[in-house]
Amino acid sequence: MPALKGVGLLKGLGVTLKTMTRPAATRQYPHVKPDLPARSRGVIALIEENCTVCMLCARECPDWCIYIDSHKEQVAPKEGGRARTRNLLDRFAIDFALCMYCGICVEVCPFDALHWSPEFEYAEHQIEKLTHEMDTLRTWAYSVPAPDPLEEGAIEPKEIESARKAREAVAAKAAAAAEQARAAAPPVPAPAAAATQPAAATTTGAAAGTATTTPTAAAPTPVAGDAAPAASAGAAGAGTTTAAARPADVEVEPGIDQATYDRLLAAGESDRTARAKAKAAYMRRAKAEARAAQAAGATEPAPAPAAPAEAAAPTQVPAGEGAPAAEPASVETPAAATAAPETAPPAPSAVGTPEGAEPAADARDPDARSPEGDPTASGTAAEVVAPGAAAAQADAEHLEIEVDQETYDRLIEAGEPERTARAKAKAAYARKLRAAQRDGGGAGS
Amino acid sequence: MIDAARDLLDNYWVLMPVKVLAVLAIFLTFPLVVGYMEHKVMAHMQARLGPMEAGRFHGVLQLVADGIKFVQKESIIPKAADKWVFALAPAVALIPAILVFGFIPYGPDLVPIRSDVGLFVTLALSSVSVIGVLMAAWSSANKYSLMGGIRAAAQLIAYELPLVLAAAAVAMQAGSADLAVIVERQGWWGYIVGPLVIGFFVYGTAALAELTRPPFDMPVADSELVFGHLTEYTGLRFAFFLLTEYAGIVSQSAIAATLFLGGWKGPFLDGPWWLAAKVLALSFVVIWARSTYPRLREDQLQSFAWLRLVPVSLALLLVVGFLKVYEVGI
Repeated sequence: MPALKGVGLLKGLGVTLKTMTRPAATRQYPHVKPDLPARSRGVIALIEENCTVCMLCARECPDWCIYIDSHKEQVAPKEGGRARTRNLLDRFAIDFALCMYCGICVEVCPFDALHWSPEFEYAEHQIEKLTHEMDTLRTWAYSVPAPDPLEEGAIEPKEIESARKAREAVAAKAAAAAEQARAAAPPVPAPAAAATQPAAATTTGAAAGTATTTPTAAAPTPVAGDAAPAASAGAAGAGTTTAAARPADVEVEPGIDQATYDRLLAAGESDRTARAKAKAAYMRRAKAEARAAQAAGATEPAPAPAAPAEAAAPTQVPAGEGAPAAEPASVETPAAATAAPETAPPAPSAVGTPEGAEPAADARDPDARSPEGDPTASGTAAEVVAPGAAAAQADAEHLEIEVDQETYDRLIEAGEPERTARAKAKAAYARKLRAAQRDGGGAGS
Repeated sequence: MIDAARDLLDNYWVLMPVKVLAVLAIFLTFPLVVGYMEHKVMAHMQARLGPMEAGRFHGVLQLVADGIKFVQKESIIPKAADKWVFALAPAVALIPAILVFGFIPYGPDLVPIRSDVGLFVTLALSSVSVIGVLMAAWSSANKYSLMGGIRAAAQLIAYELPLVLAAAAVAMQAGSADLAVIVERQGWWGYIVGPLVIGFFVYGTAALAELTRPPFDMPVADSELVFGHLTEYTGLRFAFFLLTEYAGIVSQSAIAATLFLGGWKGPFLDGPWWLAAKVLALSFVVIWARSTYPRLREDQLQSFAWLRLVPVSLALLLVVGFLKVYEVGI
């Protein structure tokens, strides 16, 4: 049937002609950003405050592309008992040249520290640049979409409820304490800072050093008065218990070597690395000194801590259970911002003493955390993260996830989609804040 | 001033370079325009955008960029190749394609080379290109190239027949083999009103096959022969073959327009504009066919030529002759 064949040929011509007159399906990617689904799996983001260095992700990774470094830190017991140790994250890097985006690490993370971010434009010309450190991984976390809201009438998650209650209770207490402190004596931030470093007497400028990591703590607000007694109490308690418990072994209070810290920061090391190394340097020297003192027959291994601690102690207020929170080591962590009124209560959990305050014990328990308590980016993050890791709360306080309006406007102007602009503006804001913090620290020392 | 220019142009030694330059200019612009058109039309027929970057506006300079790229590429001659033949083949294919442009009537007085047998000269020249293809195929010392070349030759022999027969029908109708005369004897609507419309389709199909354009591109069928006679070519030599192909589209479109569509004739506009419009329209159809039809099989190609097109064109010749002898007007 040749006639029918001919019809088919003409139909074919009709199809191509019709397609030609219709708009093309092409999206001109570099010029027009793709409209991706919000939960696109572009890159793995890290909320480092949530990380407990449990190493599950690194162990489950089929490619072994996650690199984690950490150091241990000793935490003084609340009342008697033995000293506890906990891990502090020094490095968290993912080699995206190896990563096959299976997402197992995101799945296994028990503390919701790892998330899928929709960012995807991180191609590099050199393969080693695909290994991204935790500062980059942290900025990607700002573009992680917030978890879906709970259904209407759903029960408030346990940890959120307890955190809320604790916050309310502590806020009330803090208000009362502030009243009392104002009535009793003018706020004295300097002794407070000094008290957090019982062994500070051996190093110069250590008091200022603590202030660098906790600019808010040094702020002469009424709250600082509140934080001071707590810190000093912790210091006093820790100093006595550790010294008394093991007279034979050399025990020194953790602290940081300010000179080393400053030098490393100046050399361009990250804040965290500098702090870790400074701490190691301090510990080495302090231990050597302590041993020397022991050998010389000195009865008191660490005479220094007592004096400032005692000096600060008289200002103590009823905030008894807050004491272990501001134990010296906490100065090392972002949670040092505990001096801020909001962040003060969850601080105990950051220190990692399960026998600490109520919300802390609750939050530290992995089982107590429901998967819905997804501490993701933006406004909700601060709230949800809080029970999980008080450090996150503290950091969220610092990096109260805001948008750098200038960057946002500029990106929107440049035709970026709203989502990208917001994420980048957030990252810019966080960077600025960090830089400001670091600069402030440098100036403080 | 204009008179002086006319006098100057009467001088053969002035006129000839002017003609050569004009033909070269046409040769260097129209194939590029058609090449760009192929990029864009094919892209849009496939729901794509095609080139969008080069030249800022919708990739208008894409072919210029391609040309620069071809110049930069290394020209590789295979060790086993017959070097002289290999190097000459692109020129043998390209030069006849340029010469064809000299015989096309672009307007009433715009015929660069006028000849009483212009029709047959152009057809002959456009067939010479296949010798270049055969040279390339044989000298490459590559079995795919050779097979491609043999296919091209077989295809040329098969389709040259209906092509020439269809053209002969036109020459018979016009009573001349001079292209300028053929155009003058047509109305601006051409010969497609009447039995010669069949001749137009036969000629168009055969010309497509002669150009080895899809759906008749068996000689370069990439799924079977890599790239046929072009397999071993790189850089400028490859570019010359490509240019030959696009020049072939333009020249065959121009000849078809001249024979069947009234050539430069048309209302309102001057000759060259009408011819250019007709050439571009026919080139569009060539591209349209490429993006619509899948490639034929080799045996289908041959049987289609010998069992369909040749009988049809012979019958057409009979009909036109009958009408001519009994003076039935077309």
